[in-house]
Amino acid sequence: MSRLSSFIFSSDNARRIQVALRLGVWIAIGLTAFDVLINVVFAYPSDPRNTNPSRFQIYFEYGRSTDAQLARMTRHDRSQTAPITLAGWYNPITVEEKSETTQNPIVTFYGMSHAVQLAHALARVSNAYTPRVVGAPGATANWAYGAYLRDRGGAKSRAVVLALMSANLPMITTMSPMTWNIGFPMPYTEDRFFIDNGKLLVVHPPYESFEQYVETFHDQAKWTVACELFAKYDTMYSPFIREASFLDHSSLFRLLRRAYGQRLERSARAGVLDQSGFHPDSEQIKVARAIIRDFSQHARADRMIPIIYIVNNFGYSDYLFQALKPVLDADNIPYVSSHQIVSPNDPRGYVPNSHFTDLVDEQLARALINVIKMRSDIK
Amino acid sequence: MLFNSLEFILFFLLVYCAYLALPFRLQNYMLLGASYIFYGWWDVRFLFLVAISTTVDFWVGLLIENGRLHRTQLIGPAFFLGLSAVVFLCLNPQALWANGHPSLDLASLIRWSVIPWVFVGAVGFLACMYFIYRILELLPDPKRRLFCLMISVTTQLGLLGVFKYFNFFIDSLSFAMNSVGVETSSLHLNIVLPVGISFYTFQSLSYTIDIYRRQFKPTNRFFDFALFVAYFPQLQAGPIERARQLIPQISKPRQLDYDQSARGLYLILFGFFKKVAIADGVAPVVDQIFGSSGRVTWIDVIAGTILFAVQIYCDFSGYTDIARGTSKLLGIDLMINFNQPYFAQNPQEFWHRWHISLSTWLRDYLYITLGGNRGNIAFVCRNIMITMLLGGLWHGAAWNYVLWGFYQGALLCIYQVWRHSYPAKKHASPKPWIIQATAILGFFAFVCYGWLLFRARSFTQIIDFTRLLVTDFGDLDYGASLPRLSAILGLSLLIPMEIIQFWKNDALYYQRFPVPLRGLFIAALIVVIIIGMSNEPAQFIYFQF
Repeated sequence: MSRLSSFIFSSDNARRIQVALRLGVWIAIGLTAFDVLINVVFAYPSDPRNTNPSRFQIYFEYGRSTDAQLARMTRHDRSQTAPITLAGWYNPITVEEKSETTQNPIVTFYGMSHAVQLAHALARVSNAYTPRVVGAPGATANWAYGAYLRDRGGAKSRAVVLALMSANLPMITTMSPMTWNIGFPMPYTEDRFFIDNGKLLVVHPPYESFEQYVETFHDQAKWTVACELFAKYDTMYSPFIREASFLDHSSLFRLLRRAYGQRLERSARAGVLDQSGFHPDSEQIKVARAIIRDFSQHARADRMIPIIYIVNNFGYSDYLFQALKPVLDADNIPYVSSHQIVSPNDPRGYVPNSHFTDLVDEQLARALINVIKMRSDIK
Repeated sequence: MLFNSLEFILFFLLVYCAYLALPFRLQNYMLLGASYIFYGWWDVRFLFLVAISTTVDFWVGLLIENGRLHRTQLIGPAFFLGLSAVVFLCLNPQALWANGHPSLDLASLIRWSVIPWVFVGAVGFLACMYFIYRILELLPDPKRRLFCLMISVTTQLGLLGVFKYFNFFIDSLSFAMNSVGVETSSLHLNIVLPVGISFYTFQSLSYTIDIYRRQFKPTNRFFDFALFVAYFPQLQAGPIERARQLIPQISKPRQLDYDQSARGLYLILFGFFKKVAIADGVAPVVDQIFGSSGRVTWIDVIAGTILFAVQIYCDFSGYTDIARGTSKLLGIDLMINFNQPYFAQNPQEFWHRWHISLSTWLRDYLYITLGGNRGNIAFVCRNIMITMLLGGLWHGAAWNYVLWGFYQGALLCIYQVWRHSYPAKKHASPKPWIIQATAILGFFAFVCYGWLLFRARSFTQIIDFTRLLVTDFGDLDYGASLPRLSAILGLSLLIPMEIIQFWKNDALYYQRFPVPLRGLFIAALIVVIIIGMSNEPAQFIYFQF
């Protein structure tokens, strides 16, 4: 009798193996029970128009494949689709502006929610300017610059503000937030800029409007072609994150995919940022600097004041400002950097959703007014 | 290589399969090779320090005991050291891997510029050792034993001194000179602290000291000793094993049994639970509070300090659990390093429960050497303070660790004076649970203040936070975020588990659960770990020591 079989067939070991097997079965039952329990108790609302799921519903939804999340959110009918699927499209570009009742100079903001909040703060602290906003949720600098190139300040702005933020700077080389915002993919698309022989070149996304997106998403062949373009140019595209499978039904598997996604995001950040700051040689920083330079040249050519708004997110120190400072100084580009108002290491300057407090936004708005006034005087 | 990484899981699966397939002697060679790969994954050059530590103490152990070395005992390790110098210092394995993909960059695979230095250094070092050996052979027994021990102590503490403390002392001296107006040029060396150097040097030292004290016979097998020094489960952050505990297990064939394997798997799972779900889940909040440059309130300091107490315990004991678990799967028992330290009611008990392998090392090789308890209370307190100050410094080359050591020493001295004045009754009945609970909570507050000293970024922060604790009492304006979900769920499982274990005084209490309950309990641990896998994976805190 071999050692293995004598081990198995000794009565004591046979009993232990039986216990181990029973334990294994109970562990499997336990895992299945937890999986089902999470799916039942924290089921995500099926209605795409529901914009207020609970924090736990959102938490346990993270990790569902991008395709499955988009399928749940997307409807042909604008009134039936999830509101987030309508945001951020280049065509037509969405502009938030007040009707012009005064001759106040217009300041147009391009960027993410921080830029929108700065615009609102500007309206609160001063009656002398009319803010105009071209924004998208979580917009990266490449989206903002793409939007600027399509809008050009509405041909009537006194100043144009381009917002960049440290938290999503590593995503400046992506083509859509659906590839990097794993927990909450948004389908809108972005221009992909890259540098060739010192010149800033652009690759336009496969679709730029909600209608084009819906058509592409519901046509397997077109969707495959679009995803191939993302795979080619988007540095954060991952087929494992995107492609739907039956495992989407398992809450534990979703948590595992979420962990993988977080790992992917962390490694993307680590390629650009470490404890000493952003890497000046990374493609992302080179592209950011080139975008700023081109933006300021275009705006000046259009007789507008270009202003860079640098959002130093909590925990990111003033790294983004430091990374951009050489080009700001070299080209004498006006800027407002949040670290001048609030320390990026002081949680009290921020609200839980990572935005600045209203007080900080108002201080930033005053700093922006000073910059505009100073540049107007110079002109 | 971190335990909480995919690389380690794959690495260990390979090692375990090979281990099951190989006969005993080859198992040891394979484990030694695996241990070197494990350590070299971080930086291959520092394996040369492990090789020096190993070779010198192997020779010293035999010389203390026998007074001479056989030719094979001399030549084999010398060859190993020479080969280590060539492989670890002259080759650059990173050239085989670029941008996350295998590559072959022959130009940078060999560090050509260092080859002459390595050759001259290795030959010079070996010639020097041979010369010393010849002199030692001529010395009478007591002198030879003492000189040999001195060589071991000098080598191990020399490695520690250069790589861990040189910059600290030079910078402190420079600061002191500058503050009295004497300008000094900076001698700061641009060197990296080798991971685990404090652990393996202390472990190796315990071997030679035990042989010197005639408490242990040296091993004749060089590769067994090399495995004792570099054994991967405990190489980077302990437990600091004793030779008399580990070498006999390495030198003899090992039996793998069901109970040991089951316990090993549970320890690994529990270690991941503590590290991945809890320690990494509270780390961002601790970092926020201790890294804040804005307004911090009383409740922030309290929360940050208590959460750091949770973090450091779960981080370090989690590492130890994974180390003990993986080792158990290989049939080797490592010592228990933590025994519910936050249930201690006084400082003496705390040090019987916290980082047991270090506290017993300091007791056996430093405190007792200084005279231990053999003297009046002032003498005992002197010995305690020296031991704890050096224990604090062992944790890191910074003054806040020294201050932490001083604080722990002061607590122990106060306790000694108290015990001296009010000796415990020999047959006193156990205290009522309410008294015990109060004592545990009261002493936990003292432990936490120690962690504040330990975690603070600067003396200024220690002063600021201490002032807030005293003058800002009751300010409940909490500014930091909440711990991650995994930490909240994990703590709500861990705290009852720890209380049950303490109450029942039984570390294996869970094995007495009915099988279905045990299965559900393990499933719950796995679910919380999976939730915690999304947390930012932090390096184990004790790696930096």
